Amino acid sequence: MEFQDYYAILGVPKSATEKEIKAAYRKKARQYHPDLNPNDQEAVEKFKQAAEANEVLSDPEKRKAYDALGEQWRDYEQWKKAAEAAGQPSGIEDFQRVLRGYGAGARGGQSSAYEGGFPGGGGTYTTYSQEDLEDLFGGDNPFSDFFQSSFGGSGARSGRRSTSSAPRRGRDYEYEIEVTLQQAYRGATTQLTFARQGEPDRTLEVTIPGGVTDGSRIRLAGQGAPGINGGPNGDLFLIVTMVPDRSHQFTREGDDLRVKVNVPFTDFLLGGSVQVPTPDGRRLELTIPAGTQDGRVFRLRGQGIAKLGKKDQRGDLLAEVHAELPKSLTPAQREAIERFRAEGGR
Amino acid sequence: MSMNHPETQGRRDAERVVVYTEHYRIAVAAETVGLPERQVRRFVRIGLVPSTTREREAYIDAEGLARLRKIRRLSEDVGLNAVGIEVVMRLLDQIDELQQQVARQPRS
Repeated sequence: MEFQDYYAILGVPKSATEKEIKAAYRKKARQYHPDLNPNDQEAVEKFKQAAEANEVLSDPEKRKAYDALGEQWRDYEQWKKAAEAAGQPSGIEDFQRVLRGYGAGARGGQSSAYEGGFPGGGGTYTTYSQEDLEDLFGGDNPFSDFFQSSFGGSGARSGRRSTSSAPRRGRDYEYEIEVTLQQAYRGATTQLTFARQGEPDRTLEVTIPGGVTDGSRIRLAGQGAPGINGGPNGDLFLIVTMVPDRSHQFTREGDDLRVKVNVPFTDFLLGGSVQVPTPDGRRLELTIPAGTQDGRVFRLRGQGIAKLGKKDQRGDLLAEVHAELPKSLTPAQREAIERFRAEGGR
Repeated sequence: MSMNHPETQGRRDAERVVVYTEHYRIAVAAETVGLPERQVRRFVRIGLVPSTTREREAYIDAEGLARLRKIRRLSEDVGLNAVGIEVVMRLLDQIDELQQQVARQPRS
């Protein structure tokens, strides 16, 4: 990358104060900021230069290095990190002494060796997150050497800016998940594939606890964003949306479940038994006493939806029985019914 | 797993589902982009950032998050205040819309 005079780019004297530098940068940003100049490649280039200049000149330490070393300031940045990690003196003067000792060729080799040694430490550029860079300059558009060298291979997916190197917890991810009644009835295990931009798809086996409902949050500990600088991972939350029962048989009433069952009308009159379906495909035998009225509700204890967080406790299954009347009658049936009516039945 | 299929009785095999939406509660979105939560709520309220409400809690999706990042950049890089941001964002949306209209029109 060719040497850039950052002061000239921003149009400020070498003696400029922090305030003046910021003002000059903002002036450039007003004119060339990619957010304000959609689809203008020339503006993007100009803004990149100004952003880089601002990045260096607004940071007192980097500015000092830049003032003292000119274009070599970046080598110093890398050398400093390595020296600090090794517990060696890391001042600008120390760096200059090293330069004098080894000569330029050795310096080049040294800095690239250190580069390899610090895969996660590249995030010296603090003004933008990876997402910002993609917003501004496009995901497939190669960043300038500067952005690349500062970001190369670093775990900058944190999505927020950081100026400290303290361990931080990765952020939480939230996803919506659609849950069927069948899954909520007893709980279920399912495989979910998580797609995030810029990351390979991940498939996780997820246990959906019984009894979840709209808005329930299922926590997958440690499956969020990776921790930063050795911090713990974030969590992944699944936010439940219930999908309506496809068969339209079951209605949920909290932990109870209502199901409508059609029963031959003769069972109502004479007594009988009927099979009540459950969401998990079982059938429960229900005895209908003689003289049952249409619409009566039978409560089948403990056959409803699992109670969330309460092991082995379940709501009830409410079986609402309805009379099924024959659509046509054989002559003999007709005769019998007419006799029934003549006897005073209605 | 409809109950009309008795052969699925008692089966709890894993089903494969693809989840693709990302949603963030406002507090999480604010922390993610590095803006104060109060400001984010304000931008949502005035309609500058789209949100969906579920169980009386507002959620912001990936598009909303991108708009919040843009807002933060306009604030930090350009130095716009809240009023300036509101005006600029609306104008940028209009420009975007006009550009799309122009692109759709057949050349005569």
